[in-house]
Amino acid sequence: MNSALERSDLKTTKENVQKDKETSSLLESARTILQRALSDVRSFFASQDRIFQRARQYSDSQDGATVNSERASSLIRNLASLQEKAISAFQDFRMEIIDVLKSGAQPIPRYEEFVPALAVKEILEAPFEERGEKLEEFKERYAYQQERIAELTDYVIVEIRKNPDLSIDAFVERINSHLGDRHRLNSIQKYRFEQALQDYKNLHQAIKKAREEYPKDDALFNALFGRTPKGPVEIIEGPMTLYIRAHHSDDYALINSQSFMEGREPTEGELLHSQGFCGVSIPSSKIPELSGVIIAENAQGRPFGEHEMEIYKHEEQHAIHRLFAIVMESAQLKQLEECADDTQRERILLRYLRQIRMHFEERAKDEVLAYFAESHFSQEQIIELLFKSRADGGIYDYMSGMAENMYVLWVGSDNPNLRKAAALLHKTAADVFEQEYRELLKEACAIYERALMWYPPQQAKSLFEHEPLRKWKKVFKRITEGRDIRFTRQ
Amino acid sequence: MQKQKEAEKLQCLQSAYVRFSKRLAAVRKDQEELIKKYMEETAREKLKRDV
Repeated sequence: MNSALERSDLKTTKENVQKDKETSSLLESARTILQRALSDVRSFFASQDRIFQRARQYSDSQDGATVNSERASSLIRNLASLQEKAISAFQDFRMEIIDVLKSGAQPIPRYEEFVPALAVKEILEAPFEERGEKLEEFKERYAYQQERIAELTDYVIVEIRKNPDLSIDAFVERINSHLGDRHRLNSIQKYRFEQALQDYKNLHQAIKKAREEYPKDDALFNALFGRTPKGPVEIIEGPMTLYIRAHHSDDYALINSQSFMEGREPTEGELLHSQGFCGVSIPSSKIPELSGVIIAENAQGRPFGEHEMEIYKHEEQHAIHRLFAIVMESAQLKQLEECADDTQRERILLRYLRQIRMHFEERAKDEVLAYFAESHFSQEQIIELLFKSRADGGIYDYMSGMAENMYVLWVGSDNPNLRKAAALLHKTAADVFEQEYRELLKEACAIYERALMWYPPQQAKSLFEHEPLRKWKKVFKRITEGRDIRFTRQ
Repeated sequence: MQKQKEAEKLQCLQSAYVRFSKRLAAVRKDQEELIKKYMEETAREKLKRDV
């Protein structure tokens, strides 16, 4: 009789053999498809030759003697350019096949530009019966592009921290060598990305210049806010931020309320309000070149410890993200920029925030499944863990500070419609990122717990892991309805 | 899971081929247009010469 170990080895071997079979069958399919494409290109080339011969014969019959040499050479040139197009189509196709075999599906092909706003227009203009399919394709491509941009931004943050003085060309070169063309940014996004890098360079230079001009913290505070600080301040210079640790409540309130922009001290109300904050990121400064770089901490005599370092890094990350947020092109954001109607604006904003939330729902789903897999967590504990705010040490508070970031960006925007949308942002974000999100998670956890009464844990996981959280209710209803029918029949 | 992934990849290969075929078909169409234009021009010239 085989030992458990031998049985397990046997199982693994069988699994590997199966896997190899599947892989080789995939390679075989890829080879067949490539050969088919190659034969298509060859047949095109052959047709080019035939066409040219036919054209020559036709020309001979018409002219009686020779082909008009100018027209003939123009024909040859044009045919050659078509050959190049066919070769390029084949090369792109070959690279796409390699991409698929190497790393899986890449929803946006190399040679295609995916511009979300244009894609939405195309969906709306398509015949009704084609819209569903087009919408699905749009969602996949959109999510892919957004993920790549996020990956790109994360990489830039690391590089900026490592080499804050790198030139733009060097940055672009590093990005290309790190990510290749996997990012699939469209040309508008590439342009915006380079603009963002240029903005970064300008801010970095402005910070360095201000520091050189005002090496002492008190003097720099005075230059930024129009008066010397009342208590101790520490100013930490980052690649594109000035992190101000204000230990006196009046100094912090001056920054938090931005009353310095009006050349006055904060009011009693602003003072009280400011004390409710640990820190703030503001869009203004008395030195115009330094607008958007100021982050202030309500330090209240605390030393700059590990926790403060975390806050600093977190805030700095927000500042960099904010700078590169312009790369993210969203169809809804475009609509918001163009919408002058107040009622419609509210509706578009709601959709825009829900769309952002969808990305984080995927991460929350993974956490829900992981926590349920560890059977010692109850539904309430999981919800509590996922909802603990970042300020309270929570690690799943994905959307923390997002609305604030958008607010800073929009309120300082040149677009009047975006400035109006900024006024609606806090309330709508509270609805979408907090209330609705909490309800969604609660519902998903409740459904999963019920599913665990029907199915063994692994099966329950398989049922839900490929479905977004918002569809769990529907999935559960569908499968349990199916079971009810089967029970009745038995 | 593995099987599903392979199936997805296979589908991607097929979609890539469909996209490639569409591009090649567009090139063929250009080719037809080109030759049509060439023949028309040649015929026109002949007509002009004959007249």
